[in-house]
Order: sequence, then structure tokens, then C-alpha cells
Amino acid sequence: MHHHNHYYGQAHILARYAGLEYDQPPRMRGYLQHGWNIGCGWNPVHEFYDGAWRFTWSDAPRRRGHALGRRNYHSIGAPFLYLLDLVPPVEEEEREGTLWFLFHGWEGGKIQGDHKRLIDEIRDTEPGPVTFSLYYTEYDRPEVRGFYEDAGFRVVSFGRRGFSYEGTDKQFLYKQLAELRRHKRVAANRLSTAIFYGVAAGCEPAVYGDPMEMEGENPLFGGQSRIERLWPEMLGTSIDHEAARATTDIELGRDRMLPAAELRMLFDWRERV
Amino acid sequence: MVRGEMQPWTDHTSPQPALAALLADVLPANRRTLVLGPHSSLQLESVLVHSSDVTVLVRSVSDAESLAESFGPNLQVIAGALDGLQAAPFEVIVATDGLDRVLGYDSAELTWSERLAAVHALATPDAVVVLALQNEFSVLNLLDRRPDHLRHGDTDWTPLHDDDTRPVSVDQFTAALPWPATVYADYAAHTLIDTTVAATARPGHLPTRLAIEALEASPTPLLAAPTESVESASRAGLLAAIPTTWLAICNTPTPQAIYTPTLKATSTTHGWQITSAPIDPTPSGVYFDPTVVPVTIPDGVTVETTLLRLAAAEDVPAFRKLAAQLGEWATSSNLLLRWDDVVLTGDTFTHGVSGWVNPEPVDKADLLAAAWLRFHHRLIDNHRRHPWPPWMVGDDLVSAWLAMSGIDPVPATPATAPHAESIAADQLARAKELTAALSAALETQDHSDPDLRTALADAARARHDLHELQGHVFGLERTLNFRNKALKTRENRIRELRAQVQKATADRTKLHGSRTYALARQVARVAQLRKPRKLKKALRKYTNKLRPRR
Repeated sequence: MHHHNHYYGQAHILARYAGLEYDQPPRMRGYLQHGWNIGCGWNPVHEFYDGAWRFTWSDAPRRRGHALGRRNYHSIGAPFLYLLDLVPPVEEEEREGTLWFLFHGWEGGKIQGDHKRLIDEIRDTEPGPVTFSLYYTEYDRPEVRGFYEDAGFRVVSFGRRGFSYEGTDKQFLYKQLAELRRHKRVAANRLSTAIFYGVAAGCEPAVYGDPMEMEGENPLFGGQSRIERLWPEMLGTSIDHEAARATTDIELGRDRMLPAAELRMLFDWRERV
Repeated sequence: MVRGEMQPWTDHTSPQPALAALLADVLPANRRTLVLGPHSSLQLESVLVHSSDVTVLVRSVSDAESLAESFGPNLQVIAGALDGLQAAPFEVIVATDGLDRVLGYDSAELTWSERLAAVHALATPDAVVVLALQNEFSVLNLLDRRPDHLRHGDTDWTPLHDDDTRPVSVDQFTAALPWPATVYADYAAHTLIDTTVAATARPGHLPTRLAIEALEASPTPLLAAPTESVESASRAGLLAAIPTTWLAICNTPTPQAIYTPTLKATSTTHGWQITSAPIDPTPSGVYFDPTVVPVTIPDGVTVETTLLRLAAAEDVPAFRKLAAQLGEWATSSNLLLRWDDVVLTGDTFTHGVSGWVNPEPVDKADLLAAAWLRFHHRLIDNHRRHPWPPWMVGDDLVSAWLAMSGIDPVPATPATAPHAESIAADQLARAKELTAALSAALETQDHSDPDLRTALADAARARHDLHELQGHVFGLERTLNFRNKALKTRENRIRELRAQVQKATADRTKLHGSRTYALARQVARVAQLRKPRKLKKALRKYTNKLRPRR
């Protein structure tokens, strides 16, 4: 129902998984979490209408949301996991290099930080070639993209998440998955959705470097220091893959995934006249 | 006839199979026996099995006449009040109706302890006495929706419950008795549980669920379903404090800890030793088959208790895992599946004491569906917490659980009407028949007359639904606004493209009207000619035309 549900083509993936139309996913009766965070699954000031159901990836956002006085939760697993089922790897190709994600801003806030220093740190750390992923908000800023292109990195962007159902790149996560499957490592300067996606796609994770700051960032949920307290096993240049995998399964809600028929019932996607 | 009889008057009695079974077990044979107060024919028969010297004292003359007619010379029937009875001491006294209906309106107003003293005076020193006492602290009394004066029909001329000598706990009762006694807790005149066993029972364990089942079958109009209160009492070790009645068995050992209409049970180190008995067939189509009830069952919580806890914790993965295990465990059978009677021990399941079977074998899928339907009723009707949205509640939710148990869901098909029945309705049709038959056999009260908590919860739910539906409308309006914004974006784009097309058309028209274009077209035409001289001639002619005239 909310246009955020279409972000990154998540509603499209779930519709496809449920056996419904991919290009025009049915209206979802609630809010779908569209990114990992350390709070209730949404930004601290997100608008919710009364009676809306909140479809989180995992159980932790439900518990935190419950403490905020919110109800009507059902955890379903991240749509990215459903995508992994929908698009199995064609063949195990040789993985090489690191797909590096810069903590990205959004339409309402740009990031500020020392890109030069970050590049030096990446060069010192990464053993192979680096592909640098920028969200379009940074990709479209030549002064940011230029840093990484000039450093000799291959710079990619997977498209826009869209707004008000317009401009959504439905293939966003497909492209991200394909790129992840080509790389041996996934890295970022903050523990973020992309790291969990990377681990789920079989990459070795790393989280290091200047976490940078974003304009208007709301520290209500605790910020970076809380991440360090809760997920220390996910931070560093060399991370225990098994521990990362276990944490990723929890955070993406692998055990919360639903069969297609149940998904249709839960979203009120049953056949109608 | 002795002093204190009542006429016209009659005291209502009801057959209590569990009580009759207990009497049959504890009464000694061939003793001079007094049955004190109104008792059903079934109970009298269980006394007469043991002794031919039985006297019954009832205060109603018409009841006495009826008994004399029914039992003939086998039973000596006396009409009158307890304080009017002068007789040699009895070796057995049976007063399973208690001491509330043993005096008449002409009797002295004896307190409960004075009545007990009168009974004591009628008993030999070693007499076996079976004496009941109504519990004013019973959960059914606490939850009774009627005001006090409408509950006790036989206390019209004197408020029995204002009597301070009347015990209101197991300890007070045993302390008041002049004999050593084992006390049973009687739940709704249906299930008797030794109070020492009841005191240690916990939620989901056999004594607790039998007590709940008995109380749920009670016709007493209630403020709220008794389930939650009984479970809370059980958790507090107070299950023995809340029965409707206590029954003291004095001066004789008691062989079994639990009596119901269908079973006797004794606690063992590993669980329960069960002795089942058949009961009369019910009109619902299902019947109780004692041969399918295990001789021993483990002492553990039921699958239902576990599922309810998982649903409340919103732990759907664990719920799904347990449902899958149940699906693997279940097989086609005559025995009806009910999760409130399947005991979970580690990873294994054991059938409990419910021996209700269908005359014909039932397919595994229908048995599972019936079990999930029953669970659905108990989850939703008791306002339990769960993680499924309201639009899933009903057949869809049962179908989802059934799918978790390995039964393939019905393929989605296009609906044929705006408010079409769930596609799972056909899949669950047989299960609904089985569930209804089992409920009828268990005498589960229907909810056509909801209790106060349900009525309040329904009203609150209606207000909540209204509030949420308003939010839903708001959400839909937001969606429309988003969509409208998207359409406007596209409309603007279309306008831009149309303006570009118009400009291009105008430019094209202008170009077509220009001399240069005309020359180019002419050149193009003549270029197609194969005779250059003719072309040259034509060009000259044309350029002459273009040349300004002098």
C-alpha cells in the first residue's frame, strides 16, 4: 500500500515469488521493511496509518517496535532471500575482488566524510580488484564518484529505489545480486543491508573505514556505538564467516520466510473479482 | 416419615458418572448405610451395589415417594429433615450433595458445623463417610454473571453462605471433619481430582486440562471463560482451591486420583496409569472407545499448550516446525485428533485420554484439519494473542496451519463474487463436521450467548476495527495520492512530449513551405530521371522561374 513497499523492487520480488504479476505487484495491506536497521525496521519518524500491519524481515524489529507501542507485526524474511530462491546461480563462477559499498545517503540527506582517506584504507586492505558501488545519490555527484574512479576502482550503481511508484528500478536487487555473486568479498564502511545481502549471496564480509556522517541522521535508536555493542562479530577487515552467516540469517529472517500460499494470505493477496 | 419434611417440594439431582464410579470404589460392602440428602438414581444404584441395608433420607415427600416407587423394597426411604432423624448409628454415610439440602423450612436453623455434628451423631466411630461441601470460592462462583441472590435457589429462606462456620478451603474442611479424610476436588459435577494431586498440577498437565474441560462444559452463565483463571490457579498451585465442590472420603482409602465419566487415573512416577470405561453413544455420531486410550500416558504439557505459547510469543518458525512434526506423526485413523489431548514429551507425541472416535476411518488430512480447526476455535474464541492479521483468521488460517503440517494448500482460483468464501472452505468441510461432532460429545458450551468478557472484547474489537478501517481508508487515500502523483508526473511528461511533437510538426510544416525544400524536392524528382538533358532543361526552366523578374 505504501509506496515504500516498491523500493528496490521488493514488492515485485514478493509478487513474483507468490506467483502473481511481477511488473504490477498487488497492493500490500501494510508496510514492508525495505532496509536493515537497528530500530523497528523503519526510520524513527516514519508515518504509519492506524491498523497497518508491519511486515518485518526478522523478529528483532518486531520486538523493538512493540516497545515503541506499535502492534500488528508479522516477520516474513527479507525479500532478497526470496530473490535468492527465484534466481539460483547459473553456475559457480570464479569469484574475484571486493564489492565495496559506501554508506549511502538518501533523497533527503547527503553523506559527508573523508573519501580520500577511505580510498587509502581500502587499498591497504583489499587483496584484489575493487568494484565500488554507489547509490545514485552519490553516483550522480561527480565530486564523490570522481574520487573512486580516479582511484582506479570500477564504479557501479544499481539504480534508483524510486518514489511514489515512479522511477523504481525493479531490477535493482537483481543487479546487486548478480554483482555480489561475481565478488569474493563484500565490504562497507558501516554495517548495513548490503553487507547482509553479500553474506547471504556467499561473500566474505568486512566492515571498516570512516563510517561518515549523513545530514539529518537521527540517533534515536543508538547509532554506530550500539552496532558495535550488538554485532561486534560483523565488524572488522577479517570476519569469521560462519559467525557472520549465522548473524545474517537472523537479521534477514531466514527462518521467517513463508511459502507462496501463506504469503498470499498474509498480504491479503488472495484472488479477487 | 420424620419431622421436618417438605411438601410440595422437590430437589433437583443430576447423574454424575464420575461420582458414581468413585462411590463404587470406596464404599465398603454390606454395611448399614445412610444416604443423606437428594441423590440421583445412578448414585443410589452405585451404593446399592455394595449393600442391601440402605436408608435414604430426603426432605421432599414427593422425591421420597418417587424413590420408593423406583427402588421398591431394596431401599428404605425416609422423608424428613436431618434434625428429625432418630436412628441407630450407620456404618456408612453418603452425603454427596453436602449438607445444604438436608433441612426443611420447619427445621431449626442449624449452622453447617451443627449439621456436621448431627451427621457425626448418626455415624459409628469407624464409619465410612462421604461428605460434599460446595465451594464458595469456586472459579464458577467467582465468574458467575448472576447476582448472589439468583445463584442459590435452595437458600431462599435462609442465606446459607453467610454461615461463618462453613469451610471455604480444603484445609478448613479437613480441619472441621471429625474423621481422617482424603478430599477430592469436584469440577462442575463432572471431574473429581484428589486435592493433593490437584495442588501439584501445572498448566497443560492432565489434571489441569481435565478440570478446564469439565468447567467449560458447565452451563453456568459466566462473566468470562474459566480457562485463563483455572490455568492461573494451576500455576499458583491453587487448582484444588477453585473446584465447584469438595468431596471428603473419610475413614477409607481411595484407590484412584482422578475420576471422570470416561476414565480413572492414578499418578505414577512416569505419568498416569489410565483405566477407561465406555459411555453411552452420543447423538453427534462420534463415540468413546476405551480400547484406543493408552494404559499409560506421560505427564507432560499438551501440544495445544505449546502451540498457544508459541503463537503468543509470535514465534512462527517454532510453530511451523511443531506443526510439521505433527503432520509427520499423524496417520489416518478412527481416533479424532485434538491438540489439547496430545502430550508432547521431548520430540515425541502421545495420545492422551480422549478416546473419541469416528465410526468410519478418517483420512489423515481431515484429521489434521479437524485438529487445527479445534485449535483455531480455542485460540480465537479465548482472545489469545497471536501474530496473524484479522483477514487471515478463519478458514485461511486453518489452511495455512494445515499446509505447515504437510497438507498441500488448495490452489488459488479466481473468485467469482466480491465476498467469496475462502478457497479452503471445501478442504475443511469434512473437518468442520468432525469438530462439531466432537464438541457436541464433549458438551462444550457454544458461544451463542457470549460471556461478558467476550461481549466487551467484541465491542472493543469493533471500535478498534472501526479505528483501523478508518486508518485503512486513510492509507488507501495515501496510495491514491501517491498514484495520482505518479500519474501527474507521467501527464507532465506526456505534455512535454506533445509540445515537442507540436514544435517538430510546426518546424516540418515551415520547412515544407520553404523554397529550399521545394528546390530539394524538385532536385530529388529530377534526379530520378534517366535523361540528363531533360533534367538540365527542367532545371533551367525552374531557375528561370525563380529568377527575379526585371
